[in-house]
Amino acid sequence: MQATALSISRLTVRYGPTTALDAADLEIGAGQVHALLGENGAGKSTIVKVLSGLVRPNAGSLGVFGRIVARFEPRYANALGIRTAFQEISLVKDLTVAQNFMLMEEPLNALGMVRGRALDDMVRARLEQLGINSIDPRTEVRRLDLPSRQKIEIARAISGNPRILLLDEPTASLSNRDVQWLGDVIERLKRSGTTTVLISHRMQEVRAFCSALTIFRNGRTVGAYAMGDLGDAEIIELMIGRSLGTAFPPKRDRVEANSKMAAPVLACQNVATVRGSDISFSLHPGEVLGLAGLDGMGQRELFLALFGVLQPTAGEIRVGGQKVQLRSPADAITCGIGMLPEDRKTEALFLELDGRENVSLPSLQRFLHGGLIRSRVEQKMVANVLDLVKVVRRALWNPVRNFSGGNQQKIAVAKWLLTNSRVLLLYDPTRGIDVGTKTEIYHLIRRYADSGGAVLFYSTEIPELVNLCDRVMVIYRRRIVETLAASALSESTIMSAAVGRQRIDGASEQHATAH
Amino acid sequence: MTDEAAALPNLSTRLPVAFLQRSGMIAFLVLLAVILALIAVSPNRLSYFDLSTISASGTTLALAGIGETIVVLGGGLDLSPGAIISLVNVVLVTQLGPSTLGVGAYTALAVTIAIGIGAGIGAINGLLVSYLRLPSIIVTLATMFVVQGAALLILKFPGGSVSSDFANLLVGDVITDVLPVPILIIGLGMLAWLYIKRLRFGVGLYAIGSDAAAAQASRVNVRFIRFLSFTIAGAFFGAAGLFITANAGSGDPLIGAGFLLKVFTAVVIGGTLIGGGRGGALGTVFGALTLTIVSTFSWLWACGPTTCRSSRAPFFCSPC
Repeated sequence: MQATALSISRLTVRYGPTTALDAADLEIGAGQVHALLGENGAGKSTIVKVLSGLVRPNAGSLGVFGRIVARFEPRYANALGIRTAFQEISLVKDLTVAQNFMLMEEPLNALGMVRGRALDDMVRARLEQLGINSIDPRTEVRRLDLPSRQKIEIARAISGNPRILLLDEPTASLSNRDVQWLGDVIERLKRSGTTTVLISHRMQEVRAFCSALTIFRNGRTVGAYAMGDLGDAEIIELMIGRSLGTAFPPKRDRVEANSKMAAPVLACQNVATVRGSDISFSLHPGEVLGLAGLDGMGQRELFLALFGVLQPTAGEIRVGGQKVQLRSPADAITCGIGMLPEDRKTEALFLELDGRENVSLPSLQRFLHGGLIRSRVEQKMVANVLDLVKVVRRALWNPVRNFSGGNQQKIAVAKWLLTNSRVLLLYDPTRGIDVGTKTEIYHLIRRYADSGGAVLFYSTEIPELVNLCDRVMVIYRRRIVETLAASALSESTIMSAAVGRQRIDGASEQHATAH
Repeated sequence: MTDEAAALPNLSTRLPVAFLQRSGMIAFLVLLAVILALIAVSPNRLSYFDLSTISASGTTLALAGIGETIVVLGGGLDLSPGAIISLVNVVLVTQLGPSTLGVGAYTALAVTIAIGIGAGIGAINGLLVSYLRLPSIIVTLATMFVVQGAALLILKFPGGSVSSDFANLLVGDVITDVLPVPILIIGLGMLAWLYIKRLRFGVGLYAIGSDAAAAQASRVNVRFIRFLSFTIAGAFFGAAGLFITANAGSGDPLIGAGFLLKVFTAVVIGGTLIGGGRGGALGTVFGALTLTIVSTFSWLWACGPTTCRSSRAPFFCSPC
């Protein structure tokens, strides 16, 4: 019989009128790798926050290795050997990687001063031990991209030699190679007796890493199962409380034929960015054009260039046949381009403002009457688009901070529906979003395309690209190396192009690179 | 994933720029530029006398600015420095006065009282802000009124004096014609800041100012660090009050009244971000000196030809 590492019973957490956890139970055996599954808002992250001492429960009891824990604060959680890698990465942006790593545990000299060089060396050694060589501990966290921050967040939690390791969506922005790295690390920790709790929306990883799972729905525990007992469909059914049906909307066959005829709404001719060269493609109305690529291959810069954030260093961009110079996002919006950026919390939304203000901001011009905003018209129009994306009306006057990741993303989409965008640039729009909402977003994208919009869709999840896109371009080392037509789309064709493997069968008729 | 992808090239902030901002270098270069420009414009030579007077009039602002920087870095605002300076001034004048104590004992007592009053009021601010979670701007606005009122209760009109030996000690010379005491005091203030910055408290201060929630999740004791930041700031305001008392030699219940805006100006010129997390007090000191030089210069610009042609004409005279 295994000892119990964590036992939670009848745990209740309320935030004002909302109940995040409603008498939830959880039991995790020592040494297990245990998955917590559920939709966004099911209460998984709240459990992690309670265990980390950030949120005080309203009722219920909590035991760690058989001891009932009465008072929880981050420092006590730490003393109990609980370490957490948070979903909302908890690194302080203005400090260096090393300072973050050892925050409040810095090596000190006799005068109580932090020994800077010793600190850097210690952290460098620990990073190397964990197989992270590419990040200098002296870098300020604000200069790191999202995947690197996430790796550091994980590495920091691990390096404290935890007895219990909590990973809240650790892979949301990691590339496949980094996910592999995480898997190895978890395996190593497991052998040394660490208990790991993993929250993830990616079933593949959950299957690969975990031996048991507990499913939550609406703040309640649905049940605990061994990994082998349930199939994916059953798990999803338990998570959302109904069967999902088909996750992806059907593609329309005629689109391909149509798009050949219709003039492209967005076209790139030999565009070069700081991280990309010779990028050419055209995007037609009614089309969902996918973009696949490993991290850092230049896709981010391409999106930023198309939205006017970065200036292309060469080539031309045409919108509706007209050559355009996008000097700022304002220019792009005027051209009818909308974008969902990589980090919706900082780049797409104003978390403290309500849904009405967030959605109407790029379209404010339309509501002006003698320089004043006609708020009744504004409210009505925003309410209309919120209905379209299926977000509750409450979002009109509530700060978007109060909404789950999935709803926030839908609010961000609503913004571009209101501007009547002809082109949507979606940069990994389903990252960290639960299955139910993902499906809604897929349907939303397809409906948008069917009504004549054009979508450029980058995703880190290959199945999305295969099932949602009409064509998929693959970017590798700054270049589009492959454009796969619907008939040639499969996970393996995309993957092999994404890792730079040349196709040998020559089945693809559309090589984007002429050389 | 390529390795070079790890460190995102941020085009707007390349390394040298970040280095300049971090160490207060830009503020230092601005100070240097102002001094060089004045040397070019002024008909008179820069003398030791100028160094002495300018540093004496800039020290109060520099000390108060270091304190304010500490609060601002932690994400707060402190509106009470002027009031604390006034209170320290009237307490020293009315309680110590031109005492018969030896200059050593007198100074030690004055330092203790000044820093004690400052740190005490700072601690009250800190308690209210961090443990009762009141907004710092409201709390310190209230403290400002209360403390200013107390100063007016203690001394209704300007008057009184402090021991002249004590005054001469603080505004005199360390080495005659080479190093005035105020410069030494500014130097000590900067050293104190560098020490504080390298304490665990210092790292925590930047952390809570940058992102209090992330700091909390990283096991930083946010409330205690915030409390401490106001207390230390108060101690610096007290030191500023001590120095201005020695410099003025007399009491005035409104002596600190004009400081509030100047302190914030010095902080901002020094490159510290209002809102917290970025910047440092070295920049503030350079900012304070720049501000003092510019305002002294503008004041003396209109002093007229007679003063300028006298043998001891200050350097800051117009070429009229």
